[in-house]
Amino acid sequence: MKKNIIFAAFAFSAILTSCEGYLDRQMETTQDEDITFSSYETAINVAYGTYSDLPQGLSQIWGSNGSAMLASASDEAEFTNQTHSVQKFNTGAWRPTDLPDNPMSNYYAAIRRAYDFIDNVGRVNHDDVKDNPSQPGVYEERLANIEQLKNEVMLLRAFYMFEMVKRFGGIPIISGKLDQDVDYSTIQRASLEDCVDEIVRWCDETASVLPPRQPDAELGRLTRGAALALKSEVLLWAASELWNNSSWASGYAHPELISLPAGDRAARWKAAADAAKAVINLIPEAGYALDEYSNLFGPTGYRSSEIIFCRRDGAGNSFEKTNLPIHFDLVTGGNCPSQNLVDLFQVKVDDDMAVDFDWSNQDMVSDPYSNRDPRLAAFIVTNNSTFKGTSIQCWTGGLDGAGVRNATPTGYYIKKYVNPDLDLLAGATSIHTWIYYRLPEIYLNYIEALNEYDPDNADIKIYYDLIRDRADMPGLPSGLDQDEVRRLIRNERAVELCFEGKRWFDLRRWMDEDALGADLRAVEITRNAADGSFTYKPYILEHRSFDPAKMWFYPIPQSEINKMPHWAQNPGW
Amino acid sequence: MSLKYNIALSSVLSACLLAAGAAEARGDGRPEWLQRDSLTVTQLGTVPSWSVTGAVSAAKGSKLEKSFTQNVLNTLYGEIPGLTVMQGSGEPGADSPSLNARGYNTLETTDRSVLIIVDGFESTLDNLSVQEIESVYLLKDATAAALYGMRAANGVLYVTTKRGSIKPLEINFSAQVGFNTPFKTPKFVDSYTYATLYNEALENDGLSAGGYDDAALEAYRTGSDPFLYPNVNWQDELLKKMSVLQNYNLNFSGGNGTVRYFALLNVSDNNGFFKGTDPAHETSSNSKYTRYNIRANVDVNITKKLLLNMTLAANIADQKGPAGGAYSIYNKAALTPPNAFPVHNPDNSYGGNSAFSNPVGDLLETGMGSYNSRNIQTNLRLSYDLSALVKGLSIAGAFSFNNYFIGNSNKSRTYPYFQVEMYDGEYYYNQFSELTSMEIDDSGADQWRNMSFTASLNFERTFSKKHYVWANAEFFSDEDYKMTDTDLKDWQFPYRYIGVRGRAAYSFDQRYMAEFVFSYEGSDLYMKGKRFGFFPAVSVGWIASNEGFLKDNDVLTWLKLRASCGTVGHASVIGKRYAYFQDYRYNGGYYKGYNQTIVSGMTEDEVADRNRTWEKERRFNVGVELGLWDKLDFTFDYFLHKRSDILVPPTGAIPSVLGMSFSELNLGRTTNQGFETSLSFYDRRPSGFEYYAKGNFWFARNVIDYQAEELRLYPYQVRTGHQIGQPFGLVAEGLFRDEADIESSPVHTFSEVRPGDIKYRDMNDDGQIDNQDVCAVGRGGTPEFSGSLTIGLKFRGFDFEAMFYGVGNRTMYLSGATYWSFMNQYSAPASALGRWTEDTRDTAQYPRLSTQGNSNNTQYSSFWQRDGSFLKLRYVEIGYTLPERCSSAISASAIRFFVNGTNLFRIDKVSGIANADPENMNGFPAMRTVSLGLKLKF
Repeated sequence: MKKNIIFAAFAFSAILTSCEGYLDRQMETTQDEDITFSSYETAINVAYGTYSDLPQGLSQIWGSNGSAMLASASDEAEFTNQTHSVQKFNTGAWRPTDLPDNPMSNYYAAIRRAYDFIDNVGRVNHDDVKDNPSQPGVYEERLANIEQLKNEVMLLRAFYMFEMVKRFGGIPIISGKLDQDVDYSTIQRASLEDCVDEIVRWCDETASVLPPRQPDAELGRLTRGAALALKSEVLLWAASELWNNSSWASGYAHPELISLPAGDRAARWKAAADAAKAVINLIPEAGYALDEYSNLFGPTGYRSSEIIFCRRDGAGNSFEKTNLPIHFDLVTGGNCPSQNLVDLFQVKVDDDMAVDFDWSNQDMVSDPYSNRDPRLAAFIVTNNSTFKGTSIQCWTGGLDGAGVRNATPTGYYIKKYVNPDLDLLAGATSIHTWIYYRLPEIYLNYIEALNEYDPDNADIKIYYDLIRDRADMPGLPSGLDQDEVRRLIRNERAVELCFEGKRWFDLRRWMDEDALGADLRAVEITRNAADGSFTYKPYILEHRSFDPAKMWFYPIPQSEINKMPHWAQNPGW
Repeated sequence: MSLKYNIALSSVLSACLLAAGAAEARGDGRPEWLQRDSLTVTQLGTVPSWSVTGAVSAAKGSKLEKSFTQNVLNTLYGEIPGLTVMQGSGEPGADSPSLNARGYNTLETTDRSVLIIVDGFESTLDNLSVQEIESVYLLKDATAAALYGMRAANGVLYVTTKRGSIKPLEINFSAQVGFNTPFKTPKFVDSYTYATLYNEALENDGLSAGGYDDAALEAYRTGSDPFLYPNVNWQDELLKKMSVLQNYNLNFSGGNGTVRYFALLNVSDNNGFFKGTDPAHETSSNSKYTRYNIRANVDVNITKKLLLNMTLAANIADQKGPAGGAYSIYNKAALTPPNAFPVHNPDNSYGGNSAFSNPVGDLLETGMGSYNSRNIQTNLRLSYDLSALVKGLSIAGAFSFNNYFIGNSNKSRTYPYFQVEMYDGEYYYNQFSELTSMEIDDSGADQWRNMSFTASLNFERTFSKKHYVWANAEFFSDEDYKMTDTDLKDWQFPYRYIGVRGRAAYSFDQRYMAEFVFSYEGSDLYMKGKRFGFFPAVSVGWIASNEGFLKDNDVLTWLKLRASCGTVGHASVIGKRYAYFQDYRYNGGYYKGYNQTIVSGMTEDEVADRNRTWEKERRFNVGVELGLWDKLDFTFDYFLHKRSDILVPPTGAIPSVLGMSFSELNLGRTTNQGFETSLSFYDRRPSGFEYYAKGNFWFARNVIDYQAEELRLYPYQVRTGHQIGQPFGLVAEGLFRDEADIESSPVHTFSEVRPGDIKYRDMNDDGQIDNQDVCAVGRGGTPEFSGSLTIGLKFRGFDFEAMFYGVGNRTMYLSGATYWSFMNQYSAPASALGRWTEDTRDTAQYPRLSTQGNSNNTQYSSFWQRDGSFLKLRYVEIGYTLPERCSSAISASAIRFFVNGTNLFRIDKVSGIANADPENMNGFPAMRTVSLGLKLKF
């Protein structure tokens, strides 16, 4: 009996051994590492995967009914839905445990992808095209493209680093594809200075290799201009107040994370001006030129000669569904321009003179939108203006005004980026372009820096006027002192680049505490039934919460601090 | 003890013995399920129950029938000690409850499903008819479960279906027709109340604009303008008061020494309770479910030594429902404000607005979805008696093919709805959405199949009348294949298991028993070289009542003690199909070119886990069985389970800066312990009056020992060390009385607080209430203990039976728009009437109203938790069997009429809150059913 059992057990184990193949994977259906990097196409996809984390500012902060722009967290706008997470910035409810705008994990994953590409693209098997007479030159083209993509992903790494540095200050510098078993307790936040040096170094390295412009088929990929524009922005930050001032965080143990070492500010401003000038000097080669706003922010905006670097997504209409005036079908309410912003658009007195809008001037107040900087009408939908073939009724009781659910809380709707020609009911869509760098910003970088260390430089008026001319506004008046010019340059930046995701950071860079903590204002519009005229009365819509003891930087998310307890939190958080 | 079974016969593994042996144990009229089974069916053959030393509890199909429902799983509430069944949706055809055995032993991050074996092979149970079920066993301890090695640890339900026995042809027919009504539906306010509350909420928020003026309030109150000031009870517009549930069953059984058979036909239908749906199922459909079951179980003695067991079952089921799903329609009916818009506008178009589509339009205009399922469960088993070679030896081979195919057909379209407003005396319509043509999508399909093969060598023999030896070894291979899409995806590859399992049992003189059980099993989930695991278990037992000193004791008629320990596993199928490959995947992309072209992006997938393995659970169990006066039976089991290698996401430990994503790793550990007990009683008076009762009670408490949790700043935030599923939230300390109260309290940072908002405890005393103050509050939703009590009477043709079922130590959480007013512009529940106001500040149980989302009040907190314990009357049935002289008039051997009530009432602690149901807080409600039935036996 015993023997039988032993025999049976033996027989069974013999069967099992022979059946082990039954448990092997039957077929390759997944894309594993070898497959990915043996093919040119899929290896290239890894490089493009690095691109795909570029921020999409039209929907920067996700919400269940409509995504918000960063503009709705700054003094430019207010988001209609009061429970949207962007409001946490406005109410002061953002904190290490609740940060509505936290790109850290995406960007570090993208940086890893960049190195993954660089480390592994050498494994591509080119046998199909190498020495293949039927495909002459393809092999060489591939090698050249790979070389260029290596530079592009390194520039993307610099771009992502800067996106994080703007928010968090000094961050860990990752310079390779980390091993899976890395001892991450040794990874430290780098100083702000090291981060800036690293970003600038890679801007320089890639700028020397990348082409000044991409051929039509490759439009949208990084260029020399993008590298130089990023450098210009980084160096402008390096010269500006925030990174040169740690006094607000007195007693903070790690000032090197939030500020640069004391140095020659004038030299820093000059470096910033030079970096901007380097982009300007590229104009002949790159073909940059100012364009029509309607083209720039329209459905083919990405082709505009004005753009240095942008991204576009597939054709869509969610931006319209979120942001159009509420009476249009399928619209849910979104980013609404504030009175604070509208007030920055000057009143054009004549071809040579413009003045600020003045609420104590009854002539202006009775008809507040006439004679304004034409960009107001180009970027913002105001009451009783014609839009999409109809007159927009932002007054109380009007189809788009107070009283209608999800109507604008401010009295305005955004027009920049909106495609007015889409038939939403028919499901029509169009491409939307989100711009990172365009020529006027470089001009503004340049003259802002110049004005700080060389206020008499003639270039200030030249480049200021270039922007104003295109907008059909008078140029820089003569005889202004440095402070007045600074105010005008900053005002110009706010107006020209409104909603473009810049002001949220500019106000921090300038340490403009007044604007950051300013009450958000709206306008109450009353329609006088008798004659159809309107009365405009500004009022405070929302008290914005800004704590100057900490809110210059984002907090490092608590979830990261918990895993990296040796990291210093930013001051005040 | 005089158990009359025949060991020699049972060795041919003929399940027909079951029926033959069942009623013999004690020759009285006690219901089948009250008798102590003489035989227990296991994967490796039928064994005498006295010899079982593992922990197994069972329910009988004849008792499960008393719950009138279409889904067998919904008959199991409280029936099997150790098996906790939690009610889900009551939607016809989609009403499977969740099951757990001895509570949950593993973390929420991993797969927690119970393994269901029908007639020896993995299968589905929810689509069988209860009339074809013989027994449902829960295999609880290591000895009972170890045969299922790598798939055993979450619990094994072993189901047997009915088979024929040696008897003349018997025909049973039954018909049962019942009326379903929702057990509980949440209640909401009417328009006038809504508007009044909304104004109050605005005032609370310090907002002046956007409210309802006096004229509007008056219009809502009087209902003077049903278009501009509508007052719609959406539930009334959409739902009928009741639906009809029917079941018809016909079966034949019988047999002789050569052939035995059981055949069944069953039809079950639930017609749904939405109003006004298209009977042709074109533009809309009611939520309904119809199922046809057939079964033919045949056992044939082909020769004296060769036995064939054939099991053939099939069912066809059609489930239909509204396009968006019955759940979503039901929710819309509940949550759309009563004054949002009229059902129909003055021009008879559908009302609607930018925030809501029209619930009636959604039901009637957007199409329908149907699921047509075809299910076959079949297996063949041949066994050959080798007694000629070695006495007691036999071999067997079996093949099984179980599968289902669910074809999914959807018709969908959108329809226009209009917001109506009045300007200058004229209606102005603002259109949302538009009418599209019906899109038909038949491509959805869900299919599953399991193909298994086993070959076994069995030995069973009694030596010298006292030494009973029983041993088996079985080779098995199992392929489980699930496909829910048309293209072949990695995770849809068949899951394969292969191995050997076996058992060796010895008992001496029906007094001392010992048993060894094992499985050596491999799975393709793991990397070569790390695929096979060994799962052993041992157990011992002592039947004290068979000892000489107790042998003929009239009081203590049965006493058995048993103990077991061993290891079982759980091959958790979550995440990637093959975790040990480093994969890449397409992710995102980038648009380039003057003419827009997209280039796909590709990214490294989760880091490969080359050490991936199965969860392991060490189990210890002791049990006692006691019988007194042959009337009272008592069993008790204590268990201790320790699970390790649970898959948990290591994200709590991996910082973003690494840029890598990791899949789950085998890091988690838990401990679970508890007990099950049952007590039953039966007596028959000389007058013929019979009465009986059976109570079950079980308890399980688990704790997380380790789960790679992130570092927490304060000890009270640590999840490890708590129960699995322990909720974490803020501790509510009531509602703010006034501004002074707010002033003197910690700063609440989620949103600006006002009197009437929830006040929380500052756990870390930093003067600030924020996410750092989150700690363990309440309990999870899974009950720690459950119990049931069945009582019955029989007298002169009348019978009565009722079952109560209850659970305890669980917490319910009231969340979302069903309980929170004005969330996302939704309606206000009736419970909002008890809101905080200055006048009710001393008694209010509901915070002040707000229109602003009020994130302070919607934080997860103890404020919205409620004790989820309940006791319900699971069923009650009263029947009358006609005297024989009447039944014989139509040549029937028995005719019985009965009235049945299922889910009739419940005592709980949340019903008072907006009519909440503690088992089913949102969506399609559970059903209460009252039915009439007839049973004929020929």
